[in-house]
Amino acid sequence: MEYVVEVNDLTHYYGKKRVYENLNFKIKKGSVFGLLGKNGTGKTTTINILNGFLKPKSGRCLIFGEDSYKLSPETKARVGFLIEGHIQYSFMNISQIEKFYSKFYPKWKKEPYWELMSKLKVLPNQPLSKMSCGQQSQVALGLLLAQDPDLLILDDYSMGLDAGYRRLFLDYLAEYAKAEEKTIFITSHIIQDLENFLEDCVILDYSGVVLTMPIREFKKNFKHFRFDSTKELFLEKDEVVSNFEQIKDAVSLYSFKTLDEVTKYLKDKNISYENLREEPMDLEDAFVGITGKY
Amino acid sequence: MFIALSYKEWLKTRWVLLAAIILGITSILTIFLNLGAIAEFNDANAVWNYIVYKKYLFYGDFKFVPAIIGFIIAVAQFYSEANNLRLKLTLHLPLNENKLLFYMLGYGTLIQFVLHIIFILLLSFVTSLFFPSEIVVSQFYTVLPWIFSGFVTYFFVSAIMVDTLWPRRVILLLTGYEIISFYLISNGYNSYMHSIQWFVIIGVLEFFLIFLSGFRFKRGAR
Repeated sequence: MEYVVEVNDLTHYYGKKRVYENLNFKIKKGSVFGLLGKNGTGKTTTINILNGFLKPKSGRCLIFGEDSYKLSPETKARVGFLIEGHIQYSFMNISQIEKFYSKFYPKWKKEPYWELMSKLKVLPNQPLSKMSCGQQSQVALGLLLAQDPDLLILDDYSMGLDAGYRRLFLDYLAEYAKAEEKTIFITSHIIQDLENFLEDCVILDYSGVVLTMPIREFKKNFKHFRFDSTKELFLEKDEVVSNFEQIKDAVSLYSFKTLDEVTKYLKDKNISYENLREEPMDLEDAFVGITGKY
Repeated sequence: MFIALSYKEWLKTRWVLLAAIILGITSILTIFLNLGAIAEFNDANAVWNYIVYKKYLFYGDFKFVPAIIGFIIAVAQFYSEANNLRLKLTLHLPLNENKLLFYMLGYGTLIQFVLHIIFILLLSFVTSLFFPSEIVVSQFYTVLPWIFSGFVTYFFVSAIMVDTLWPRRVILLLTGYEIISFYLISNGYNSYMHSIQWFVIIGVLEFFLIFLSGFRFKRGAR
């Protein structure tokens, strides 16, 4: 199997504050990969390391087989990069910025860019500085699509966007991903948007990597069980309990085990319970379930 | 690619360049009008007395112009890059990062070089209307350190803009202030005539400051 990105034993600290230790994941060629996590868990740090804007304390990060800190110009041309907040050169107008970038990328296709701009109904001399956040996101997306990169790295594409622009952004990305052998690496704090978009994911928590697996497998196997208990329970995380929460009598238990296995577990631990049942979850519920609410 | 990079730098600096041209020409025009007034209301002996014996620097209005121009060009080029870490966009372009910085700084340096050649020619022309060639030559050697102060200001301000660490910025600011003052400290004719080569060497060395700032930016120093 060919991997576009390989992250091996990546460890990073800001001063004495640990971001993560021994982070490992690989991104298959042609896949849509999500890096999910709460604020401050190291998503942007990982993106910065991937793009060569941060030297990790230890470990290696390879993009197309090259050390991400020393990417060659040829490899950089194969990587499209969306900065958090859709930052672009705001001193340019939409025509100037297309003209500028087109000189750097051999595979430049201006059609997707101008197609998006025509939908925005803006003039070619519209300055970026006078566009809304949503419109600027479309400019940034159009430029990325025109670049036609083999790997697209998107740092929180959803920041500042309303539901319509978020949907539009993902619809275009989905079309892009359909093209042969294109790879997308995406982070976002709005998990529900990515439910039908991602194929694989890594979930980060303040303690490090919580999970690495295909989204379909995660959604299929990760379960939310609820039951009532009049006693205050103290459950440790173990091979059955991935997470646990109690609000008064209502108990939520998150697990990769089946209902029968959880029932047996509770009985073995002599935990009194009533009305044990499995609750349906979407991706966001599952994300909150595995990382906790705090 | 280099034409495209020039295009980007041009878009950032075009209005500032206009301001720089207006500033330079206005200061030279002021010198011309002052000289005209002095010549009109004083006889030749009095003027000569002022210039030679009392060492009145009649082109002193030009002294800080290169430094101001260096400052505004650096801000125009690098503030927008530093703001929101937009420099990441530039450094992600498919070129070597040091080459990109070299080219951006080279653009600003070249622009100032051209502007200052024009200003020196204009200033020399104005002076030659009133004085013999010895004064024009002396003026050239007096003005040269001021011109270098413009380049040094540009190099320091650019490095301060690109650097991401405030302590480093403060160190650069204080060092830059001291070095630039050194270029501007004397008000006499030809004061630096025999040390011009050192001003050039120091100025050229400061060209490389931005690469240290760029290196820290790329390492992720925040």
